[in-house]
Amino acid sequence: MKTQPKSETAQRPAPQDTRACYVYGVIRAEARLPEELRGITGGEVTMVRYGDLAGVISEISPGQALGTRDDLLAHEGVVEALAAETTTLPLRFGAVVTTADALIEEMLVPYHDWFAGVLEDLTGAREFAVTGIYVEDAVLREVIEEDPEVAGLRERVRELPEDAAYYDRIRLGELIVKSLEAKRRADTDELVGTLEPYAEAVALRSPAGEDTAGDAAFLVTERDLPDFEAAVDELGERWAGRVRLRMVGPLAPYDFVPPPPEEGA
Amino acid sequence: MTVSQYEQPGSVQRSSGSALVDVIDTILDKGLVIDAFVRVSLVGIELITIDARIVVASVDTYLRFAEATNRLDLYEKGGAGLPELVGDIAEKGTHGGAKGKTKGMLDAAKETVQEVMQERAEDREERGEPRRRPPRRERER
Repeated sequence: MKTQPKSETAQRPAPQDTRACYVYGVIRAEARLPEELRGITGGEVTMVRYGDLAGVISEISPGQALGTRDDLLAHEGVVEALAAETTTLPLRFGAVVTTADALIEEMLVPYHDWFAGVLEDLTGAREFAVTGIYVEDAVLREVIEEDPEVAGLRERVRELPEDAAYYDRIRLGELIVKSLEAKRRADTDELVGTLEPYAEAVALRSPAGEDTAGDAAFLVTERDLPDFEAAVDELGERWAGRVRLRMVGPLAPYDFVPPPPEEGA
Repeated sequence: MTVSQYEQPGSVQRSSGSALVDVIDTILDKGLVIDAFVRVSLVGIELITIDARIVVASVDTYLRFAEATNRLDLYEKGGAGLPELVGDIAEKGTHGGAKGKTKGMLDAAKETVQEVMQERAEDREERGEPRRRPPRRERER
């Protein structure tokens, strides 16, 4: 187990081994933590303040590896609860520093203005991710109907024994994948075009699989949320039977956090 | 027809984000990176997130299929569709061709459905035993 130099000002006594400080995100100092928030490995979630900024942390043991399902759920649970309460800049999973003081000295003090500015920009808006997943049979039927070559190959492949049709099957699959790519481009445009009017910003997300019709994150204000949701429902109805629409959120603005500042900026 | 028939037409699935499978890539790949800010007092913690991705993905896939079979059950009681569904999947299985990785998740999912369906067919007498709801806060309209 690694031993870290112990700071005089460590907030809590560490009985058995050295403690480290897991960081979930940065919020405004005036915000209040949701009650009974439990962090990774059950640690108590607290705020460490500097001026109008606060880091949200919990203590963990630095000797253990992180990344179990429970760890991920704990991280997501804290960030989600924070984001529901206040504008939150989420940190990527696995951010650990030695002490709360180090977090202040190395992050909140030197980058104060950057954090304050980004929090200001994101105030009042939350992220919603909308993903369309193709209904496989429906979209394959579309491809067969739209592309005579696919239809022809399909008939051929059906009539031949599996081995004999090997190259035809590869060609058939290749054509289908190409068609799906074209469909994905068009459907992503439609997804973004439909929802963009109700969002402050849009971020495209890379498709998770061949069956993704479109995937984008939207930054939506409280004021626009009803219209945004209505537009999502409307799109869901328009696409019923061919694309299943999924909306995840509200989330912390993961997709809208700007790139970190230059050193010392 | 397909599994989607068992969902309400036009419904948009909503998730608060507690379904880990929906957000795992986000929390592992997005958000601020601490290294960009903290240099001296960084604690290098071993991250086992590659395993986590796989474990989370499979656990959540299992839960999703468990949920899907629950819906199937309801539909079955309504009386229609199930034999057609099985037939459709079986057909797809044969003309779908090679069971290679290239076919991707769509067919892997189909195969799992088929397995689940077969198991369900075998266990049919035991129906009526209480089924556990997957621990997810997902709601549909």
